[in-house]
Amino acid sequence: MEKPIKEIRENYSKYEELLGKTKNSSTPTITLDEVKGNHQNTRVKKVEVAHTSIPEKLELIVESKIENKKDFKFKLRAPEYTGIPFFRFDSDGVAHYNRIPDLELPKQKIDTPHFHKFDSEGRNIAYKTEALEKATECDALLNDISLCMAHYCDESKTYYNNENYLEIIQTPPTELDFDSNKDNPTEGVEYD
Amino acid sequence: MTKLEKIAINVRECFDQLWSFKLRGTDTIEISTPYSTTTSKFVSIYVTERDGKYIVSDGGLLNSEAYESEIDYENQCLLKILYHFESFYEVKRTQDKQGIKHYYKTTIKENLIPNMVYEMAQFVSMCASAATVQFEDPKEIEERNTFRTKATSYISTNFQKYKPKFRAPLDKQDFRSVRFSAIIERKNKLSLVSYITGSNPANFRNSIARANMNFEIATSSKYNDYIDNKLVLVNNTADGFVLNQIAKQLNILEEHTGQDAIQWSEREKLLAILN
Repeated sequence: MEKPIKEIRENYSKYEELLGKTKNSSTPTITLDEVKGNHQNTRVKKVEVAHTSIPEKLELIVESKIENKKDFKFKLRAPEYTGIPFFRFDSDGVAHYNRIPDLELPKQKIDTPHFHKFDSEGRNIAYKTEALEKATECDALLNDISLCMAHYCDESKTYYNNENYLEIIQTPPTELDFDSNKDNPTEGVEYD
Repeated sequence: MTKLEKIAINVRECFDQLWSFKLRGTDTIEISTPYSTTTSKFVSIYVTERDGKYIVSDGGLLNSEAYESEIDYENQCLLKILYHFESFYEVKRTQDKQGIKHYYKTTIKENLIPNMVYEMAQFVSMCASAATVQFEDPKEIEERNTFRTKATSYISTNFQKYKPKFRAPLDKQDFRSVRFSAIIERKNKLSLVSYITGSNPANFRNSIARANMNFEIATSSKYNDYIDNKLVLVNNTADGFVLNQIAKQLNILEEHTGQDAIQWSEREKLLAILN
């Protein structure tokens, strides 16, 4: 069951500092040249991130489905603080259920693409930015992972050299780069 | 209209607003339903039209952990629950090329698609939620995880040169379910290591039994000629380590492996065996 995250609830000021202050990636360009161990259909890369005021090693993880370039995730982790990512972006996937008291039911459902952050109760909250709400802007972001990363950089205050957006290369130069967009999970599956 | 009728209508309207759709490829639509899981996700069901037939499926999402609930196919309690839902809703199962299970129902009648979506969504919601139930005692899980972390860190530090594999199966085909805490390969020979611990004597005995069974399977397998060592690393600092309640079981295990079990407090014995 999804429980509130104790570490975040008990030390929310640290969470606000983690997310709210500038962070710097160790590299300006992230090339996804590894394959995820338990999901062979996904490319992945983890890079180190340094916080400007918290002396802990952070990490930024970028994942992208090999056969669908519009299906990717960005995750920031602070392993010494909490095991699960503290700020995330999902371009595709199932809708999130924000079980916030006093919020009307229709507003509790947040379709993808969406960001995830935590509230002061330690609850995982999905949300859409203005750019994600607008169909044309949202399409542009999903069509270009680096453009979407720039949006994530601003939302999470993660840059290179305090100001540069990070660039993502979805296919390593050693692999053939197909512009595939297989977003139908039933394709090629045989049913009785 | 009475106030109560207005309330009922509002409930229905709010539920209605929870539906959303995404076209997927040329023959499929993803329907995000009002059903949710205890992992705080809404269930998506896929309707595919193929050769005049409608396939209503989970799109493989349940098995690929899209609901952030991992189905432990070795947990017999959980499997009983899943099989109960599978048979009640008459859900069929197939596998894609990556080995991901897809659950589905089919119909040739367009007017019956809602029935299929209704049942598939219930099925996915209940399976994803059941998979997150904590079946085991949290104390036991913590005991096992803590010891695993300590032992794995000791082995990876001291035997780095052999690139040990942790929680690894004997192979990924026929022996997928026969896992050892660590497998170390030296000079084309295998050393199998099982960690044994438990938060109480009963769990400790189960841990011994599990290790014994895996060693027996390994002995009768085609890999036996390549096995150098069958090593048992016993957590003698665990609460479950009560010698007079576990000694008989431990003796049987030692008889089978032909090697003395190594106690955690004497872990340096591993260095002599494996270097």
